[in-house]
Amino acid sequence: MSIDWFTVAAQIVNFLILVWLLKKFLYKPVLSAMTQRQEKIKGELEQASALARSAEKEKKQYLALQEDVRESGREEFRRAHRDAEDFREKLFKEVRAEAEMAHVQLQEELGREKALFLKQASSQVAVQFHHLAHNAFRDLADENFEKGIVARFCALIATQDTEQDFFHHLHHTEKINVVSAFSLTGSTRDKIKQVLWQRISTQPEIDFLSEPTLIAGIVISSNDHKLEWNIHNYLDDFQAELQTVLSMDNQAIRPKQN
Amino acid sequence: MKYSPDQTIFLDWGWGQINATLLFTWVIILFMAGGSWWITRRLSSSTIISPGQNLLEVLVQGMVLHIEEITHRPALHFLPTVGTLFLFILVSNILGIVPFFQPPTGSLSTTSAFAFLVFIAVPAYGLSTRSVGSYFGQYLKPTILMLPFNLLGEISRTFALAVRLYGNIMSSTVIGIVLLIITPLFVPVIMQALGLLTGVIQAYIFALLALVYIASGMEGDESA
Repeated sequence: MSIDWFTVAAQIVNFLILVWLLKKFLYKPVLSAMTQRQEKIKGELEQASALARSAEKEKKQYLALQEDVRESGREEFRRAHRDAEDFREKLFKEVRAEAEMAHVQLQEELGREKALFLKQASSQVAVQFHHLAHNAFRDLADENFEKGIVARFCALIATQDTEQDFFHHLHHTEKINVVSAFSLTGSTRDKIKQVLWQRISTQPEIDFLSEPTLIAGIVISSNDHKLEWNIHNYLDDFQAELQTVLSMDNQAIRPKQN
Repeated sequence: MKYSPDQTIFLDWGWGQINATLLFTWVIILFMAGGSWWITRRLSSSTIISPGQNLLEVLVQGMVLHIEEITHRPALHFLPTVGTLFLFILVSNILGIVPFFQPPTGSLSTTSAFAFLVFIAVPAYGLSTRSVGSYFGQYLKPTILMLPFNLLGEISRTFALAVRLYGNIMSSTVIGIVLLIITPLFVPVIMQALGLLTGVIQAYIFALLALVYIASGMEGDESA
């Protein structure tokens, strides 16, 4: 066991050379590679962290957007609900207006029908009354109804203080029309003629006409002036009475309205 | 019987000789430097690496962690010196199982050279962090009367460092040779395996002690 000092010195040099070689070919490259990998992993971790933050941010944005969409949907629903309500209200008003219009039209139609009915009823009543009166006079009193009418009409004309304006007007006329619902006999016509001429103190031409639509009575006319002697005034009263009765019935059957 | 590779001489100039210690040291240097160059010439910084790179990284990283754990300082300061000591002794001892290979660590000249390097490295590292007065003042503590004892301790631990490694490796080699002569089959294999284990442990112990000595020399008032 001895020490070779040359070998000791050589080993020191060898060791220093080995230190230099390993530093160059082992420690530096390996540590550098490890550092690079560490940096790379750190960078990737930072990138992953940044991505995670970005994802979190996007998630928040998405949730906010989702909430916005949901709120927008709710708002749309509310607006649609309001629109539907408005539309329903509008339709309701239109329907109500149409119903009211239809009601008015119905009332008008009903009024027209009522007026027509009254007119027809009056006319029919007059006709029937004329027949009834004619037959009753003939069968019960052995009298002529039309003859009575003419007699009463002549008596009216002969009375000086009746219809003075009308007869005053006839003073200046040259032609007088006498219209009757029934045909007048010759003697009746002469009697009317005499009475008329006597009342107006002149002798204009008198034409006798027959008009069945008059139903009963006689009408004297000249130009625009007319004197009627028939049952129309009674029929007007009758129509008024009937209308009153019908109106009362209408009120009784009219449905209750809110 | 040759107890040391120093005794196997290939060239002799009178003032110096090329012996087996130097020759196998160069072989080891070539092996380590060449192997390192071969593996590190295509290092990858990705997460998928070659087995050779993996081995080197495990070794370097292991040494770095050990150094930082013991010294509590950045490992790059100590890695070239202590790491090379460890790797050289480790490779030398492992290659000792190769037939006809004589580990240079079985030479007292080599272990003395390494111990001397440690002896020099301790004040060198210590003076890099401490003042001259502070460093050399530690030999006068706790009293100037302790100076001889402290110097003796410094020299003896260096001597122990050299002799411990030399003794272990040399004895393993000698025992292996003796057993090979007495019982050529099986038993020498067991002893070689034991020698391998001893060699690895001795490499670790030498490097660890060198590191502890160096670190203690840098530690202010604490004596080595």
